[in-house]
Amino acid sequence: MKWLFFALALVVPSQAALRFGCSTLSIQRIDPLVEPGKAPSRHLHQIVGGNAFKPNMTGDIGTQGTCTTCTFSEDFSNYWTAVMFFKHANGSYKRVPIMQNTALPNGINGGMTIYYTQQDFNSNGNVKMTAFKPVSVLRPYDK
Amino acid sequence: MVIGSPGAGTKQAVGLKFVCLADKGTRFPELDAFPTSQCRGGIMTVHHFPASVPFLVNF
Repeated sequence: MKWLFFALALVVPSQAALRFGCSTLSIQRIDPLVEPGKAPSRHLHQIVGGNAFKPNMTGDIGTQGTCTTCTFSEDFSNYWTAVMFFKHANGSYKRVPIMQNTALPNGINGGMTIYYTQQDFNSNGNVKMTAFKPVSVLRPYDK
Repeated sequence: MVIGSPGAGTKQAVGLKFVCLADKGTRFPELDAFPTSQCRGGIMTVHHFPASVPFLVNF
């Protein structure tokens, strides 16, 4: 029955996902996607990842850096998000501190956690992951 | 890539979720809108790309 055992092994669903932490690289008014080349951009971002980050990014950024704030050094991609502020009753704004993911090893400061997953945990799906392209249309709150 | 307005208090996009943390280990539920009450452990924002993919992360 060795053949049957082998056949069953082939139908076991493969399960894979990638998770890694990235410390804050910088908090800057730069947005290479929505406002490429513009410094300062209209709003603020927290950026993590490789040291090739700049206001106008072209080509495969993942291959252009030499170091990164992420825990995997095989790739120098950047990731960035909006930065949140607390609006005080007196009208002033205070930037909200960013916490690291408690599930990750110590040594990551602020930053974010990046997940690459399959379509679900039992199939590969057909989604090709590519970097975002700069956009040419500004949203109302970007103006 | 458009994932919401900074002043929004309602659901903005399929891929933008918030988790109101009781402590730093809280992972569910993922809320559609920004929390309206205080979150003792902070707020975790989750951006899903592409937004149509089912959500099975947060481990």
